[in-house]
This record gives sequence, structure tokens and C-alpha cells, in this order.
Amino acid sequence: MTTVRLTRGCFVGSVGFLLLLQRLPRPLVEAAFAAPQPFRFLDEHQAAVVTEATARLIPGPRDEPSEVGHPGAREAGVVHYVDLMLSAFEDDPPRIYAGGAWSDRHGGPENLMARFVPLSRAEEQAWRARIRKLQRRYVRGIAALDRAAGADFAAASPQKRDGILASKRHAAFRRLLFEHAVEGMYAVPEYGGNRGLAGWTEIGHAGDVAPLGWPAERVTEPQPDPAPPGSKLPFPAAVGDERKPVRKLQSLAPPLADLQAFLDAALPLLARSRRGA
Amino acid sequence: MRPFPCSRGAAAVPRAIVVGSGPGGATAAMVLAQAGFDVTVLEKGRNHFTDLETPTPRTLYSNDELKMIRGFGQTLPELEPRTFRFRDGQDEPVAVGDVNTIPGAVGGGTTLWDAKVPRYWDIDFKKRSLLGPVPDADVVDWPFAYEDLAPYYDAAEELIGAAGDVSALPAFTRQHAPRTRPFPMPPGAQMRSSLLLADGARRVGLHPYPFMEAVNSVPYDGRPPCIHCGHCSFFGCPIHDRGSALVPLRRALQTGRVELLAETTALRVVHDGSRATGVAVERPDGRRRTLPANLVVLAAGAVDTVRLALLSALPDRSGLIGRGLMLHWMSHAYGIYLSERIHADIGRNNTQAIDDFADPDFEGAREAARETGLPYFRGGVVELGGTSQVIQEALQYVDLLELFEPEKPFGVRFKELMRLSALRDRLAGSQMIAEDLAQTTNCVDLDPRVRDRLGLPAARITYSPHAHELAAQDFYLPRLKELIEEAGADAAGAIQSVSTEQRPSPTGQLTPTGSHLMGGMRCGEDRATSVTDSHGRLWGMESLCVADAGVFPTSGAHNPTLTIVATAWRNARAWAGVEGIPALAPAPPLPSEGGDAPWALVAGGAVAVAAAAAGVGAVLGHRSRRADATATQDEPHP
Repeated sequence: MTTVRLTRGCFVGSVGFLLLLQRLPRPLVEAAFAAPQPFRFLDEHQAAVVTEATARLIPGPRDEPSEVGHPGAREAGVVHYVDLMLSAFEDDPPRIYAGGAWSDRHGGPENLMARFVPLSRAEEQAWRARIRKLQRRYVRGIAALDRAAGADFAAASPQKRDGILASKRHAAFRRLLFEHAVEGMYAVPEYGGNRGLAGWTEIGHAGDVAPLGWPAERVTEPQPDPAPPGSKLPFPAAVGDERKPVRKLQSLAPPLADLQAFLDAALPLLARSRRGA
Repeated sequence: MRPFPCSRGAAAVPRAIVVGSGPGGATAAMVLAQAGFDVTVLEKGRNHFTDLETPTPRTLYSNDELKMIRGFGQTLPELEPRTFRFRDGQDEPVAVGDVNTIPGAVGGGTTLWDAKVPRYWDIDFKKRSLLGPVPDADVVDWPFAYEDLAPYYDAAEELIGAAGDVSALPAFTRQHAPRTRPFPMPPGAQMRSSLLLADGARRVGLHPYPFMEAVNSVPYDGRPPCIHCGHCSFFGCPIHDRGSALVPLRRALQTGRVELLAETTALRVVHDGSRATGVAVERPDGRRRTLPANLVVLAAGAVDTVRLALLSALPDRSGLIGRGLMLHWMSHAYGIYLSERIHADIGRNNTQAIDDFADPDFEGAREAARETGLPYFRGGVVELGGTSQVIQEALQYVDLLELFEPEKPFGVRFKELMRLSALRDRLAGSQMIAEDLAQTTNCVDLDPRVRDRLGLPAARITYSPHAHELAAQDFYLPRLKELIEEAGADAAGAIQSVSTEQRPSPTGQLTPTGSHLMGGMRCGEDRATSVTDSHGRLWGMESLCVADAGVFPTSGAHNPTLTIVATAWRNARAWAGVEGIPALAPAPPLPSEGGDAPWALVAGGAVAVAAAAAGVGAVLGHRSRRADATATQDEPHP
């Protein structure tokens, strides 16, 4: 293994992590951080289909002109997240629950997330069944995308790929792919995605900040609001220059053209996802 | 089944088995062990900690949203499903799987809780006497009053470490939940989103205050102050600044008389009809055995405690076991801010609250109640300022794009939404935790068909809200929305969460919201109308006690955990024959209203509460135990 490969990863500059890597079993390290790498569940073609499909769902600079400077599923390695999930039981402990209490990204002396949590017998039974079901759905879903594209979904034009993914016939598999693309973008990188912290950096999210956390002022104080570079949305002025609310909603791109309609539609989702604690 | 080899008959030290290691079970274990019992704590879930005898055990919980989505530390629904239906006679369940599941792990619900620790009000304990009956509901008094529980509230706040500001509490809160002591800690850093909504609340005449939380604002009890990592509610605390059941569990383990058995499922209570003699369990290796005990404490959470009672065929002379299940309704309102990123994902989920809607005499509430044919209604405490986590947010856009952009519900639009972050970084949420009236028709029993991984019948929840809950929600939702509009949000909205068979919630979720499970083992003074006595002992079987919210006769209009701890503490002392009230560290007098809070003094004066058992006498009514030796003195508080 070379450190050159690591520069593609998300732990650049961490001597402690490099030392840890040297102690970890080689296959584990390669599976997680080396790129390019062999896939474990997906074959080369299936991996290409997942890559090209998820790059339409969450496009990056190579996929859409507007996304230059904005990494997407391709850049974040979503396909590796998917492959690691589908082959979770090829590792021991299986790659289901990353460890704790922290990584080494924000003050942790050691990346404890890199050590996955051994499952109980009951958990293993449940998760093996869940993964088997997902494997079947992927194999079938990929084959269906290929059929819709004539032979090879990955080789189809972006327009054609969009059309197939948008069709009702493939809605269920698209939904599964999209959910996993989201997880591969924004989950901690120990699960194989979010490479180089691309998913978090793109949206200005700090991710797992423990054990360093945030100072009290950061909790309380208003924060400046820089628009993400290249954003097509009209962002309000940053804090400091007359913070008046942007109320010219008509100028916002859809679906935010009508913010109230957007929130009204979001209410059931917001309420459903918060069960209360 | 083979008896467990460690019991040697009546001459031995009294043995207690506590089923469940959550706040109620851990507190009961602490009290019993400090009173001289040998205690075995059974926890069906896993132990994701090491060194539980230290204040900051190593933990596997982390800032990992995917892990929480995947159910880490929770009961996986396919292993232990529950079923839900609206009413008796509905043979097909409306839902199977995750129905109001609470975490199944060492520490119970407090592993993932939001650690808000308000007290119940005086009117919760004397509901029938002070507010009166409600048609078609089962409104009763508790067998004890607020004043009886107050010393245990003080003790519970000191034990798990509560942060708050008495002088900031509105007059009606101080009147309904009177206090003689300050909080052990001052409030922590206030979240921007919470302060914005608190401003809105003030503008519409409401009375926000820093919500009392079991989260360290200063070093306390050997645990560090909060780092505001923003992974709070539904996440395990990575550094133990958030207090939990681990605190009483630690005190229990430190006596040297407590054994914690994780991944050990209680299958049934062994009894002879009048005396509980043990618990049949399954160990992680699949082997089954019976553990003997003089005292069996059920603290598995209201639903699972009832399920175990029914699986054990415990005596049920009143026919009320499982009846009167209550679930707090969470009614939500949200605002989106375009003018700034209010970063509600940094902090402690939310840090401000209002109690106004918990007051049955809130302006206009009595009149609105009468218009719907009710003598009164109550909403509940409103938490101000929460938002989504990032994966959760992204999945909401996945759904919304299907609505707004059905031709192509993905692509650049998704990324723009993520960058704008209207539903996370610009979102401020609020939720009202509303009182749920007890109805005997709302119950837990055993599902006739669905079984868990061990082949035991699943818990079946039969539940429909009372007109009270619907009326209160209809009255308060517009006020929640108004509060958010006044807080300067660019868009505000509120949504009905109470769901009935006739009027399903627009959330699409038919099962009741919330993880607050209460009732089913109601305590009372009259054995004809209650399941357990005034100290949570099963009528007709005093060696079987309940230490969770199952004993609650009313649900209250506030988060229940502090009341679970206080009630378990009060009751367990009676089971062990301990007299008096828990000893507390000296505290400065309360500041007068509007005065300066003497926080420096308070933080300096906080001392471990574990000496509660000192001076304790009889155990089981006849045996004098080594009370002094049971007092566990921790390292002094900072």
C-alpha cells in the first residue's frame, strides 16, 4: 500500500491514522480507502451501472455543467459505499455499524470509527437477511436498467439514462439507489462513501465533530451565510450587510419559487422523521 | 429449567432481579443495592459501554447518522415486532414492526434521549381532584402528590445532573411545580434557533425559558461539559456530558452487589400466584435458565413490562393490566429562514421551551374546550428550535422532488436544495409534547399471531386518541405557527400529528408519535381500579414491583424521564424498607424572581448524592443491613 493512494482519502495529514492503517488488516484498508479498487459484490459492469446511475441522481462536475466545483456521487465514491454495504459480511466484524466514540477528524487521537462493531447473533441474523434482500434487489434492478437501455445502461447517453431513471417502471429501484446515494454522500466515510469528505464539504457540513465539538459562541451567535460558489439560487446577503430577509420568492428557482408551498409539502416528512425523544 | 446456583435459600442476602437497565430500572437497582440487596439487572439489548463503574465509560455511540438510521442500539423490528390497531375488534393490524419502539440497550431510552428533564405539575398528580373527570376518559389521581415526589425530583436532578435557571421559569411553572432548590448547574449555551423562536414566543405573549436538561453545562459528577456536537437526540453521547441511566447504574455497580446481564431476555416471571420467586431468562448463547429472587422489578418500559406481565400470567384482579396506555403526542411546527443559516444542527437539539400550552387555564383554552364538549384540555410543553440531520434532510428532498419535479425528480435540483439547506441549516422546528388522557380501551396485550425471534407473542398496541387530544391540537397548532411567524421565519407551517381511524394524520403515519410510553401498570390506592399499589407493587404480589412509567396514572404534559427516576426512587425505598428522604448536598437558597442566580455557588456546592442510603435501617421489614457500608461516595464533584 502506498501513501499516494491515501491522498484520495479523507484522512490526509493524519500521522496517527497512517500508523493505524499499518496495523489494520490489509484487505480492510484497501477495501475502505484504496482507489481504484476491485469491487467485492458488484462485478465491473454492475459497478459501472451503479456509478452512472447515481451520477445522474447526484451529479458532479463530469455529469452536469452547473456542477463544476461541486462533487457528486461519482466523486464521493457512492458506488464503493454500495459495494461495501452489499458485501458487508465479507469483513469480520461485518461493515454494518462503524465504531465509536469518534474518528480522528476532529480531535480524536485515534479513528475508532474505523473499527466496526461486532454484531450479536440476533443482529447478525437480521442483517444477513437485510443484505441478502438488498443484493437481490440490486442484481435485478441493474439488469432491468440494462434492458431498458438496450444492453448497457452505463454506455447510454445522459439523456437516455435520465429518461430511464425517471420512468415509473424503474421508480422503486431509483428510490433505492437514491437513498443509498444519499447515504454514500453524507454518511461518515468509514462506510466507503463520502470520499475526501466530498459530500460534507460540498454543503459546508462539518460532519462528526466530536470530541472537539463547537465552542459555545458557535451555538448561539448568528453566522454569515455565504452562498455556495456557483450556486444558481439567489442567496440573501451575508450577515453583516443589512440582513434583510429575501422575500422576493418568485426569483428563487423552483421548487423554492413558492417557499410556503415547499414548506407545506415538507411538513409531513419533517414531522414523520421526528418521532420525539 | 435449572435453578441458578447462587441462591442458598432464605438465610441469604435478599436478591432482587430488575428487568431493564433504563432510567427506572437503574434507579431501582441503585436504591436496592445501596439498601443491601444483591441485584441482577437484566437487559435484553447490548452493552455498548465498557467500564460502567466510571463516570465516562468508553462508548461505541458516535456522531454517525447512518449508524443511527441502521438502528444501532435499538430494537430491530424484525427481531422484536410490535403490532398496532386502532380499536378492539380490528383483527388485521394497521402496522407491524416498529411501533413506538424505545432503545433496547444498556441505559435504555436514555442512551438516545434528548435529556430534557422538566417536572410534572401538581395537577398531574391530582388530576381528578383538581381538574375533574372528562367523559369517556379515565381521569384519576395518583396515589401520591407533587409534594411527596418533590424531594425525589431534587435528588434525581442532582443525581443525573440537571442544568436550568429557576429564576427564568414562568410564574405558573413555579406555581405548578414548586421548587426549593436551584438546578445543580446553570443552563448551557443557548442555540440560535431556539433564541429566535423564543423571541417569537415572547412577541405573542408566551413565556419561554431555557429548557432544563440533563446535559452538563459545567464539569459535573466526573463528567465533562457538553461540546455541542449537534448529534444529540437519537444519538448516543460520545463523551457522557449528557446524563443518563448510566449514572444510577454506576452507583448500583459501585456497591459491588450488582450484576448486569446484557443481551439477556426475560421470558417470564416465575411465581406461585402470590409471590414472585424468580425470572426465566434466555442468555446470549441461547441457553435458558431461571434466576431466583425475593423481589422482581419490572422496568422494561410500559409496553414491554405489560407484555412480560401477560406472558407471565401475573395476577390481574382488577383486569387492568395493560390498560390505560398513554403516549405523548408530538405536534410539530416549522419555520424556514432565508436571511441566515440558523445552524440548529449545532447544539443540544433545542434549548428553549414554553409551558404556556400545558396550562389548562391558558387564555381561551377553557372556552375552546367547552365548545368541543370537554370540561378542559391541555396541550403540553413546547420545545423550541430543533432541525434535521443531514441524511434525514437529503431523504426529505428525495421525497419532495417527486412531488415538485415529477418529470425528473433528481439531479441538479437535488444538489441545489442541499446547498441551500432550507430543511436543515435554515430550519427551526418546534414540537408540543401533549398530554394524552388515559382510556381503558387503549391497551397493550399479546398479539394472537405475530411472534418475536424467540417465538413469544408480540406486544399488540390498541390505541385511539381521545377527543381531548384532537381538540387540544386543533387549538394550539395555529398558535405554534403564529409563534414561528413572529420569530421572523420566511415561511411557517404546522401539522396535525394526532391520527385517528376517521381522521388520519397528513403525515401518513398512523401509529402514535413519540417514544414516551406510560400506563398499563397503573398505581393507585384502590386495588379495584389499579394494577399496582401506591408504591408500584403488584396488588396481590408484593414481591413484584414496577419501576417504569407503566405505573403512571396520568401522562403529564412534559417529558417523563425525570418523573420515572423520581418515582422509581421513591418506590424502591419503600420496597427496601428505607425510611426518610434522600440526603442531598447543601444548596444555596433560591434566588428571588428576577434576581441573579448564584451559579458559582451552586456549581461549587454540588456533591454526590449517592450517600442516599446512609442511616438506612430495615430491609424487607425484618433485616437490619449494613447501611453505612452501602453508601457509595464517588469522587467529589468539581
